[in-house]
Amino acid sequence: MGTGAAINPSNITDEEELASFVDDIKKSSGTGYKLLPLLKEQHPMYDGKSANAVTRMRGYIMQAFWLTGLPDEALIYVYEELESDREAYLVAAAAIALRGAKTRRFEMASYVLTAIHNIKFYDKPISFERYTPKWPLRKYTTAIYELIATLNWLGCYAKPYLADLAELKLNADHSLGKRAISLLGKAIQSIGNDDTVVDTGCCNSENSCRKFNPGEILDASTLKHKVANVCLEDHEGQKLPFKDAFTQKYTLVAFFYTRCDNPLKCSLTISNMANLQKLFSEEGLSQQINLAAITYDSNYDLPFRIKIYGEARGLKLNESARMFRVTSGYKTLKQYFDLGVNYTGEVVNRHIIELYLLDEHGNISMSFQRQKIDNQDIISHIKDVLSTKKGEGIKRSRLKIAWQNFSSIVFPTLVLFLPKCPLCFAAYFSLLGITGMQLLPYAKFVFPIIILIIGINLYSIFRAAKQRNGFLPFYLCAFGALLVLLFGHFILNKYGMYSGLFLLFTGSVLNSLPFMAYLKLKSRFFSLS
Amino acid sequence: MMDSATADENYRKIFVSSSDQDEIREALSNVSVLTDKESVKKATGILKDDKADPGLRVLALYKLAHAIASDKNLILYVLRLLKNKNLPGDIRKAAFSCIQSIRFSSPVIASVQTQITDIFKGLVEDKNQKIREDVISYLAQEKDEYVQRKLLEGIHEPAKALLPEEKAIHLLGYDIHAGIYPILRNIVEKSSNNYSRMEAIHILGSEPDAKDLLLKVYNNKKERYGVRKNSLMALKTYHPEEFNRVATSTAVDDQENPNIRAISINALAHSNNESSYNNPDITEHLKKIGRKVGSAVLKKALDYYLTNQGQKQN
Repeated sequence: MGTGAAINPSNITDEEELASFVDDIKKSSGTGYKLLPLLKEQHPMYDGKSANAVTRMRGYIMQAFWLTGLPDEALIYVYEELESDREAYLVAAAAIALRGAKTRRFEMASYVLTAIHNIKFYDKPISFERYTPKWPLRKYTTAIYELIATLNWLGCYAKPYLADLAELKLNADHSLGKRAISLLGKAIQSIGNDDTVVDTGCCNSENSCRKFNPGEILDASTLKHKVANVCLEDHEGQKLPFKDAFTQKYTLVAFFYTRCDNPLKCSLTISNMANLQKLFSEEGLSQQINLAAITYDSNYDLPFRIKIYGEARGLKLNESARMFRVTSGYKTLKQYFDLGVNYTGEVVNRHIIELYLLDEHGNISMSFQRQKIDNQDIISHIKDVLSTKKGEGIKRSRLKIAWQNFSSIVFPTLVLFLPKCPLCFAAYFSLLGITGMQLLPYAKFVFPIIILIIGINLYSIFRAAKQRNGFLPFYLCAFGALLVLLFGHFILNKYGMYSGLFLLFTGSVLNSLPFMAYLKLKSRFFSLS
Repeated sequence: MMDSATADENYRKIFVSSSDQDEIREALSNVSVLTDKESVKKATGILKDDKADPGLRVLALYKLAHAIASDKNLILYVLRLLKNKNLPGDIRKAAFSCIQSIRFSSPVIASVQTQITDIFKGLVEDKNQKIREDVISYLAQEKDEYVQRKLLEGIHEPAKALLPEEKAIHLLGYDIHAGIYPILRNIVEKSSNNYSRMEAIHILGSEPDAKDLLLKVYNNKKERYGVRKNSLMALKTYHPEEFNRVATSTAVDDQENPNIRAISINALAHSNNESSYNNPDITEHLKKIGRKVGSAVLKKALDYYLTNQGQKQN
């Protein structure tokens, strides 16, 4: 065993160290998990390296999974390269890595096919024989050769894509070389002949890598201390702190930079944001959610640059869709989002595709990372979040309704049961074991209270009429109140007053009924009549 | 008098029918491009004939460009010519030019791209300097990692350099992600090669952190004209506000190099910023010194500034 195995992967800083570590790791199988920490873009070993060096490093790590075994946790990284990279070295490495997986999956073939289309015009001769190969090479491989080899390995799992592969071969004359076409033909034949019966159940067809990961939820105080005061400048040159930019509504935040040369990453992300903007409008979400794009490259991406970049990709920039650069506190912001980016000096040398959903307090409530943005998927997640939020609102409004119901019952009941005449007083007081007709002289003070309570009840039923069960309950209560007033104070007729009390009670009960129950009752009543 | 199409057709006929070397050479030299089956066949025969005169083979190669662009096998044959170090340099150079010229026009080039890259990479250390420079330039524009590695190696260890340092810097500058800014800073600060420094300054314009270094170099009037000019231009491209400040003070500095002043005045005149093209301080000063200016370049820039100012305002 060489010196590499003794190295702690977290402490690796230079390329030679990395190569030595990987060379040692791949001597034994089942050690792939040791390579996992090296795949995070934030690893210090990528700091200060050129983009080509980062590609070399990641590719060398990734191809080692073929020998060490590919842990499930590494699949997302492999899929990411296949789906959105155009560096032949990395794509080839990802294709090789896939062949180290314990189980084959249908989804793998889909990623491989996407990678073939991504790389067919950008393929290059590649060698993994040593970390820094020297030309001329005795023999080389290419990304396309490796992708086709992986299709072969997938066998029956690539069967659903046979028609796509056949079409690719048919039109490959101008894009693939002779050898690639011949290998593709053999792969198609081999896949077609593989009659292994495989389980097509949920576990195989499901995407093993969820685009949605519940984000780190930080409480308001952490936010306040960490990012609230990070200074941003928008595309119009308006400066504002993070807390003002992201604490009014839900905001979908994407990261990008204008000097990104991978059209499948930043450029596509901003184009997708523009599409999302249209979809939000169509789905009626525009009022509930803002869009924001923050550059990784704040020193270069001045307001006029980000404005042109956004508008050129169809983004309609306004108060609810803004592009930002960070004028101070970028380190804090990077830490807050745990951004998947690294730098060589001031220039980005590697980054992932990443979007975050911030709530109205600026907390991260969701993250979409590493895989191509799927607008429909994002919209459905956002709808879920907003409906959950609405659900909480509904819970609150249920309490309010319950209180309204309670009060609409309580007030008339109070009216019903309050002593409204000397007899009632006598009855109540006798009920309580107190006799005392001497209270009668105070009846004139009780009546205004009753009137007030009836008034409050009527007002609350009137206010709720439109939201609840219409004006019928209000009319009943109003008529009932009139009768109580008339027969309880002026004409003094107990039957008239009881009728009034009955109407008051009925109106209040009808008002408090759930709308559907009220409708049912109403329709039954009218059908009977 | 014959029109060009008729003349072309006549030369093509002579080329196809003649067996005389001189006649063939003359016809090939004058025909525009070979596209018809017969002439392509004959020219391909000449190209593939090892015993044919190298000059004639080169001519055939040039005239066959159209046919080569649409034929994978011919492209691969031309690549073999380029790779063959025993062939005369002219044939190999023509082979390289042919590949480069069909790069954008060939519908089948993508299918042989890996072979092209492999062969070009194999020629990075070719003994023929022209071929070496050409393939390195091609690969550097493709941001090829192997070439970047070799160029950086040459900058760190001049004994291993494949190209002059300034050329290597220029080629590395095609890739802003090449991570060369620390090396470039070092070159600007310490190197005695002003050509390298000029290239380095030009590229450092895209490094936001280099602003202070650029200003330092520009403000040192002992620096060479080219070095200062590049510093000023780098500031203009990436630090426009700083450039306006510096250029404005240069425009009114009578002790400044007239060429540097002319550049500053021209750049201010072409600016979209009214405070630059219509600066009363500059206008007043330029009007005052107008007649005394000895340098023709400065006089021209001054006239342009004053004239253009009026036009922009209208």
